[in-house]
Amino acid sequence: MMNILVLLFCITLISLLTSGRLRTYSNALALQGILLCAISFKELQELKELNYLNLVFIMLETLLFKGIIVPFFLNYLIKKNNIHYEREPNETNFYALFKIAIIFIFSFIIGYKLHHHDFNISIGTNDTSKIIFFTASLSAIFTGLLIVIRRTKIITHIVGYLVIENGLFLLTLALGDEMPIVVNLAILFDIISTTLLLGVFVNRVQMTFKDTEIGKLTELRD
Amino acid sequence: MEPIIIYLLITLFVSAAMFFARNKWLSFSLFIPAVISQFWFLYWTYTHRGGKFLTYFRVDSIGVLFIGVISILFVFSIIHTYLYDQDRKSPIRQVTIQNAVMVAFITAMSCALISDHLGLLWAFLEATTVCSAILIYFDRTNISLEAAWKYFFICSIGLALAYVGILFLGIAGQEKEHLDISVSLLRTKVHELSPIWLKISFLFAIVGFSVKMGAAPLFTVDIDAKDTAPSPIGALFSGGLLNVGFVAVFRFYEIFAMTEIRDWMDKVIMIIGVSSVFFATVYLLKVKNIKRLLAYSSLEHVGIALIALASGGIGIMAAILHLVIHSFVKAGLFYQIGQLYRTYQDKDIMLHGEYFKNYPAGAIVLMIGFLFMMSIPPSALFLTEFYTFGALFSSFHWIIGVLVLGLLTVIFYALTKALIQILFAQMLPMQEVQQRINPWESVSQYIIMAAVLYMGIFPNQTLINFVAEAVSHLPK
Repeated sequence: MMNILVLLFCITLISLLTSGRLRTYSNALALQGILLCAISFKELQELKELNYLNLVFIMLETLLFKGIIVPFFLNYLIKKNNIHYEREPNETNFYALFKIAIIFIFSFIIGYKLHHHDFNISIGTNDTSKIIFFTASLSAIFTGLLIVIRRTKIITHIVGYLVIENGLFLLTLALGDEMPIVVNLAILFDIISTTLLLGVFVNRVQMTFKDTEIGKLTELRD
Repeated sequence: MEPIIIYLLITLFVSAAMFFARNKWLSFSLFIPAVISQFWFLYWTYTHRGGKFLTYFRVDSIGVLFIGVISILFVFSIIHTYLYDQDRKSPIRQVTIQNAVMVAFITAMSCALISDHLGLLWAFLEATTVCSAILIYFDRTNISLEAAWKYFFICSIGLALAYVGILFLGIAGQEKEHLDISVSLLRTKVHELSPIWLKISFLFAIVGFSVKMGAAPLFTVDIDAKDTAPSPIGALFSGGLLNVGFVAVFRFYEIFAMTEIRDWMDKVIMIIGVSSVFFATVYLLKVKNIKRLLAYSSLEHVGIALIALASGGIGIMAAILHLVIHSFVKAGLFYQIGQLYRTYQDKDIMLHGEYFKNYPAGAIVLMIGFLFMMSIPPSALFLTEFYTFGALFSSFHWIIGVLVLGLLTVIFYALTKALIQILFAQMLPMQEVQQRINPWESVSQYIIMAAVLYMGIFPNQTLINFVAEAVSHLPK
């Protein structure tokens, strides 16, 4: 079950990298939020002592914040600024698929090597799930970075940032219950304010520069 | 109630009150309780060194030292923010937001310096990013919007990378015995962890935190931020935030210094330090904007501090002292540059000139500040750089030592050229003095420069002992 959820998460990454429609991005992010909620629920269930406070908090963070508020906010930004489409310059889907495949393979190799290096495990043991987690989260981080580097609209840069955050969340889950609730709260608060402020800046940039292309922001120089 | 909670509550309340204040007078007078709570907090941390509080906080000497620097610069920055507002007559809403965010910014930096839990340290650093972005956007111009957006976005990405580093360290700890990722605990258990995880963790952390330190590789947005933000805020970036970023890296250094990756880690820090000085040299040669010039000089000094840290031995102490003194010199210069801008209404060095004639009091500050920044004796920075090179050569980094000395010579040339242009060059015919500045406004800069001069001639033993205490737990 867990593997299927993580695989679905990886599929959303493929859709993020191959699609050019902004609505697809917000849908993919909403789906990622729901998947992260399911994954963290399953993960927390397996712990011997279930901390209900932690459970409620993580449910809120994933389902409410990542699954509903953020996609809703993105849709609002898309509508308000009337930007609907974004496509990498001169790129076909084939290259996007090729890139995401490379990211998956690379992340898997890193995850496998790192875990293998430590414990000499073999596939099929309990550590397999750790490797899968690790691969998915690293892939999300790399995909997010790729979106940030290659796309030109500042709204897609926010999408890239949110994908990186989702990857980090998955990596935090691999850490189990090591992150105390106070720290989690502080981190969540930061991420919420960051996302909101990024959105505010998108609106400002649109109002000031009458455009949301990153190429327009070139006034600062030596 | 724990003093940390009281401090957080007071600053939160003051910040909120400033935000909702309807007039500037009220907003500025609310700085009084903010300053009192800041100095009370400084006193409390000073008297409670070595203690652990609320599970996730730990007060140590390096934290107290930099909280002290931030607290002092906070007072000076308030004075200059007031003067800045008197000159600009900015809209009330802009001023109240700036004041409120400034208090939050100082609080986030102070708390980051005493965070023992790496996750919490990250959270406070991210909070400083949110505050910085709002502070940079103070002028509401196109260029400040661009700088704020770039700074905010790149910082968030950089800190996300640093978070990966923290998580990797957590995973490494979890492989053994479910270690909590707090600095004090990891320091005792780190030798049991797998070196490969530690190396990856350190790489991510130093690259991520470089955005806060303003060091290579992610230094560009930091330069834009210091250029665009009002001068009193630029002073806080150079004199406060830079140190907080350094302490974040130092926390990782403290943990990993006990392990077999120490030598490897020193090499990485050395590469980042030398490349920071190199980039600073290249840009300083061509930069024409006076604020960017100061920002690139900060890049140079953080590079020197990193080189000192990587050299080990006395170099570690020199690194911390260097940053403390650099904070004051740079902040003093930023305050003065604010007045320079008011005199000429331009940041382009080529459009300045005859500053000695136009505003002698400010010109003297600028001259002393530039000489101090170039680490010329009796600047206290000379002493720290002297010890840095001592550590560098005694650890047999001959080639790096000579290379960095060469780069510093070029920087010396670039800064001297800019200084002579501003102070003595003839003004262009179309250029005229826009505003006469009251010499009283330069008093704070004189105080700062006098303190740095005093430190250079009579090095304060208490301060040195304090720094020695901060590094006493590190292996030689």
